[in-house]
Amino acid sequence: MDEQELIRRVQDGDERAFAQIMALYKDKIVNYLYQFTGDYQKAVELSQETFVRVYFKADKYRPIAPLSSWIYTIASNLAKTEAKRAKRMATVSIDEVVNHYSAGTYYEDPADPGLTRNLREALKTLHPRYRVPVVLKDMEGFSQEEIARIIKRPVGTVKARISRGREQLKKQLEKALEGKGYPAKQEVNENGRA
Amino acid sequence: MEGHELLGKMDKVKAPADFDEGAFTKLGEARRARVRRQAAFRYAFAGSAAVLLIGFVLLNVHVVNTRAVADKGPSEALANQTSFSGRAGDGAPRTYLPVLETVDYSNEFRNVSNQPQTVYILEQVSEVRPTEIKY
Repeated sequence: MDEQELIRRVQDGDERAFAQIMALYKDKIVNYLYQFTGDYQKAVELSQETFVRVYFKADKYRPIAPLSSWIYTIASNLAKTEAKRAKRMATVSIDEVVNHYSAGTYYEDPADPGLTRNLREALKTLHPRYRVPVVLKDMEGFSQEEIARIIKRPVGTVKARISRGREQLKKQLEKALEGKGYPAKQEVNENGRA
Repeated sequence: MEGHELLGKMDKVKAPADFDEGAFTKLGEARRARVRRQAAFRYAFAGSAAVLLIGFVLLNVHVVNTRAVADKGPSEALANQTSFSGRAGDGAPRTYLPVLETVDYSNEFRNVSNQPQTVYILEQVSEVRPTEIKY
């Protein structure tokens, strides 16, 4: 049974079809949200919330775009909302600030746990506007056209955001390499400035 | 190696084994919340409609009473009155107090003269503004 048929059944309230859609996408969505948030538990919760919305909003799905794009759109919107909420709730302890200063960590070896931490921290500093396309492109392997469909923006905008996001990421990693560490909760704003 | 190239090599995670159970639990909760929300909306809607209806009915009763008294005319209304503080003759509460007042127009014509009136026509004769004289 293809995805379109499954979603049609979900529109009729078929929970077995819903379970099948969830089985198809749960790993991808959990991984995407994990890469976005850096928190596995939160990623799982957001993913479950994503599928709940898929179920209730199924009648709003139009088969002009692939089902995957629609599900990733819901997940991205939830992730952005969560990022905004987390930013409002953010409190920084002294210990946390010290931990962010991972001076002299090499980032040439992908197996290096320091590198993973640096990358995650660097990703966290990106504004969600840049983080979403960078994660979709570089971690999930979507094309720019697919990302444009997911975030509902023109391809040119997607290209610009990916480029600016990568640039910011590079700067943050260079800072970490130089031992300057990350500006703990200093998120790069939507204009690309810290 | 660039940072974004390294991103693709980072570890991927999978959904936990109890993911589906959790999702269905959330689905059930969301469904119940939805039903509660819909019921609350229905009650709120019905309440608002009832308040509007009562307001409309009260306003209409008031308007109908006022019109009925106005249609009878002041003399009839006066005749129906038993007293200023009582009720009208038909038992309905009085809705207005008629005031009869004589009007004296004699003062209005006191200053009117029998002589023909002079009409002054004011006309602008020059566009030039008066300026200060310099010596």
